[in-house]
Amino acid sequence: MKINIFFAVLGTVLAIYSWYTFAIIYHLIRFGVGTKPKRMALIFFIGSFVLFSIAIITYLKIDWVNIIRIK
Amino acid sequence: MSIFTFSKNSFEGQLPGETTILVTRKHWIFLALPLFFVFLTALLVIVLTFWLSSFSWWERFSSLWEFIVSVIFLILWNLGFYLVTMYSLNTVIITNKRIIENEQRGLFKHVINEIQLKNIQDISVKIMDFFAQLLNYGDIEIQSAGAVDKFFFNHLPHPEKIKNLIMKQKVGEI
Repeated sequence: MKINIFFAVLGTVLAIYSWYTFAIIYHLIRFGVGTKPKRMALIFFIGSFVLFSIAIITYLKIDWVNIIRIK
Repeated sequence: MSIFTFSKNSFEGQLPGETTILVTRKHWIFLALPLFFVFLTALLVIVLTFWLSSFSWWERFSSLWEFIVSVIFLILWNLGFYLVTMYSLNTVIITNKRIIENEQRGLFKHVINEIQLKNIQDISVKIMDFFAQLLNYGDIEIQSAGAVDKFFFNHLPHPEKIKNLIMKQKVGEI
């Protein structure tokens, strides 16, 4: 079976990013004192989701043909 | 969603009948300073985008730059919240029974120190420099009769008030 390097790198980056995001949310909810850190975790989650979606959309919109073409 | 409606000052490991008197963290300046650099970086990226858009080749590479900017913002968002997490999890909790210090050193290292109020022998406040005097933050040193003889809480806001509050609680405990 041939492994596509691009998808392997993308998968690794996504896994690290997801783990990191989960760790922050987990810490804020589990160890935060009172309700404020829990609300922060919610804001962080929503913001991360929105920014991640924007990153995916902008990636799909990259005009590779225009960038690679030789003038 | 009960975690969002739970008591204002509840914490993990709270004993039955234990009341939280004060939850304090380092002075806000220790969060604001690193966050300022995160905002500054975001601002620089925006300024850089305006500057780059004046070049003739901008049209060709703009879609790639938009992607790069969105990734930079995602990284900055995560970095900012990492700083907020570290700040909000490093707490000193004063209850009617004890003082608990939660020390979060990175995401996976967590140290908890606690002193029973009855073991407190002496408390001293140190305000070490000009900015500490100006912003009213300082260090509190507690001499204890327990297994660990000295406790240090650094960069706490209004250290004198905290000291008085601890003394008041200790008197109440006796």
